[in-house]
Amino acid sequence: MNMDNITEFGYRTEPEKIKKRKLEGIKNNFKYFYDHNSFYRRYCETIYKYGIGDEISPEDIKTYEDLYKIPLLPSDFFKELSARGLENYIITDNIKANIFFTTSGTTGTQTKYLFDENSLKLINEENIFTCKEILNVKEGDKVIFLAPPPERSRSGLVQGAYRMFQGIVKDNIYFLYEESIEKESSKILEELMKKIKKEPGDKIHLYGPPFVYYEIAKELEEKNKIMDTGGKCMITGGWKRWKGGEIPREELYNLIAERFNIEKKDVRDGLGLTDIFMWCPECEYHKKHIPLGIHVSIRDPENFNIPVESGEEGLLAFMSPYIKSYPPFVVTGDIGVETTSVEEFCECGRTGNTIEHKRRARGTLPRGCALVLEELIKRMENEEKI
Amino acid sequence: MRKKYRVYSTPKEKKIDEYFREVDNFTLVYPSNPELLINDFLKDANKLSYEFKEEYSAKDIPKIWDRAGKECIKLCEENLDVLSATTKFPEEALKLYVKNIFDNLKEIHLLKIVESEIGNIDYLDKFAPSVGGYTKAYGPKYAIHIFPETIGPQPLSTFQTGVIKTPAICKPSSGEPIFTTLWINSLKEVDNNIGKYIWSVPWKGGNEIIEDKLFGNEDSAIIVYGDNATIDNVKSKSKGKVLEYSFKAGIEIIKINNSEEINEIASKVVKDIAYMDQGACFSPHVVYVIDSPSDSKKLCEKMAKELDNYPIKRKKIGVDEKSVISMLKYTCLLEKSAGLDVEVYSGKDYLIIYEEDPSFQLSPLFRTIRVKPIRNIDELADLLYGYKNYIQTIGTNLEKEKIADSFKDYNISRIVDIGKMPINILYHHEGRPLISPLIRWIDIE
Repeated sequence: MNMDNITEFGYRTEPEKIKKRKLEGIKNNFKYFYDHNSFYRRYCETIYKYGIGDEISPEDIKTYEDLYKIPLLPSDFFKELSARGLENYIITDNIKANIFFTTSGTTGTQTKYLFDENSLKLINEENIFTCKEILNVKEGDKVIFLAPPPERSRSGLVQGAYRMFQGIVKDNIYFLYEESIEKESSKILEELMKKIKKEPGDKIHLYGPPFVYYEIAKELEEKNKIMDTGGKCMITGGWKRWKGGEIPREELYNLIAERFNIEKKDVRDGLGLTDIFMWCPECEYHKKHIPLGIHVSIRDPENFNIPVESGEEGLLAFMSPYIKSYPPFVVTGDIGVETTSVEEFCECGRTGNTIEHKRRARGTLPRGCALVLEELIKRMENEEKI
Repeated sequence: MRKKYRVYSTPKEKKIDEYFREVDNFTLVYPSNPELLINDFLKDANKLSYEFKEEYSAKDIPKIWDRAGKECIKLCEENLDVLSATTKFPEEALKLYVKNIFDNLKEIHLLKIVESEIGNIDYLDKFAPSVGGYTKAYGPKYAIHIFPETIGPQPLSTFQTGVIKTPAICKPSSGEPIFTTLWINSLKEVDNNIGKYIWSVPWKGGNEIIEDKLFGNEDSAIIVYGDNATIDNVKSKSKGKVLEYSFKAGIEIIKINNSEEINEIASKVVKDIAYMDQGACFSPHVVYVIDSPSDSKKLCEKMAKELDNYPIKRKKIGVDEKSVISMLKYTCLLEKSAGLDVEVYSGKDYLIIYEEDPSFQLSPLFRTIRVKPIRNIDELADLLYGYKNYIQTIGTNLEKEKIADSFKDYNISRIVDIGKMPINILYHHEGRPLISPLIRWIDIE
């Protein structure tokens, strides 16, 4: 490991400092919720009463390992609340949470997440930092969303990314699906690229769900065309489709690299953490990096207070120091593994953690922003037909 | 030394390329090219169909199946270790399940099924006197059985095609191919020749080379167990008859007349829940308690105690199943914290949820059950209407005829006493006959 790269604070900072930052951030936020969110306080007590967690108060969090004691909310609960129209129930006393984003919808009601302005500002700052550091997106670059614009989609996948990219490239953001869809996606993209007028050295990054990339790359392959963007192809959202099952990952990476004339290392998938409104993009070694302030862990599926060994499968859990509107201590229904621990450096030279999302725990229904977008885009196609 | 198990069965003595899969301490041996075996079967299908009818009379089949059932109990007991590795059930549970499966397979009972459906078993062999002349029943040229991971349907399913003397190919589930193998070996053990007509060939579901060929004959029949995706896939490719047994669930409807009854009811309900850890089509997913929320909670407490001490342990479950169950438990505790009337009773290998919300929800299985109070049967009938394609069995301590009448439009096919939800004597399956859908009749006037 080349230790010369370690700067004062960032993805190359020594792990102990990162851990300290995570500990302070999460501990303070836990104290905040314990003191100000009566629902969460009751939940902490209930967990203890039912013998499935420690009796815990903020004073009990002293070390990084103590963070595992913080009671986690299963992400299914957000879905349950949305289904019953009770999203406000978990909102912190005296917080004005009047902005909402959604995910899913494959099982009926979309899950709603409520935020206050200040939480969103903090989240966005970290998302911008991550995007610059891991993806090397810079001011002056251009970004094309292979998705509808934020006015047409409340999904976290669109809304979060729009705020993040706007913080870096300002107004240089374009949308593939501005209006109803009349023609092939690759054709729309081609026309959009002409309109943007790429100068030599310009970087145009693409951002969108796997199924849109797949559709476009396949169309380009059929026409034997190559589109030169000069930037990165950033993938987000789930790999499952409404129809046709899972998109083959390796095939898509190769197709994108070939059709957009980029190296495979510039095809970057990202894991959207909708429950805490953040994103874990891949580095050039295709490892998904956790934003520095976020605490990630893989939990024992039978006892959420215990992390599994590094490399072992378990439930992905995230804790955020930024959100104040609802308790951002969440265990997802997704199975994952830790590929780089918080103590280690990734092959790319950046600090951990890195994680790998394996699958939605079998037995639960598929959900994810990409599925919602696929439905929305289909609807837009149908609008045109009508 | 690892024990090896061949998980395919064909009558031919030719050399077949094989590949191996390790499960715990066992090696399962699969054919590398199942399509070659399928080709052999299809090539010989006409001959097999003819010879099966020549060599056996329909009356022979219930006898053979009855004897093979006894043999299979013995064989399963000798191979509990590997069966436990593939099914994940503990050995003591398997002993009980295997015995229960074959209790159902008595000659006299099998004969009754056939005769109650077609009147006279001789129709399956020859033209026999009927209403206005002579009648004979003909089966398809060949049949395909697509089995689920659950053990149980294999003996009766093969009987359905065996008694009409239709040669068949069985496709065991890739996760659990052992029970099918043991069953076919048992048939061969009591009647070596029958193995000519019942083959077992595992292949990966969706293999188009095999399925297009095998399913594409109009004079074939498929008996398929599985989820909707499996069944849709089979139906889309099949040109012949398809008898489908899709995913189903059970419920219990209980009336607690006085608190002295609770112990007995709890014990019976737990028996239903623990049987195959709810992995069967008849297993309960929700227990509805009529008109007594406070007794419902007492019932949950007693059920928890029963499950704590239940002699048969739950099957081994993986990360995914554990995760789904834990997520549900924590979600319920959150709902409780949010002030909803929810209670959680959990132990090492079970989860009982009391919920005031009466809506029907599927269980993630493995001894996870919801107990819900309901005002009356009419309210329940309204609630369940949307799930009428899923519900198969109702366990109840109410008058069964009345329950049957209340749910007659719900595709319900069994009403049984609580504690007796596992199939004891099957007559109709999913409310449909077993033999008659597979045959067609010719009358000579």
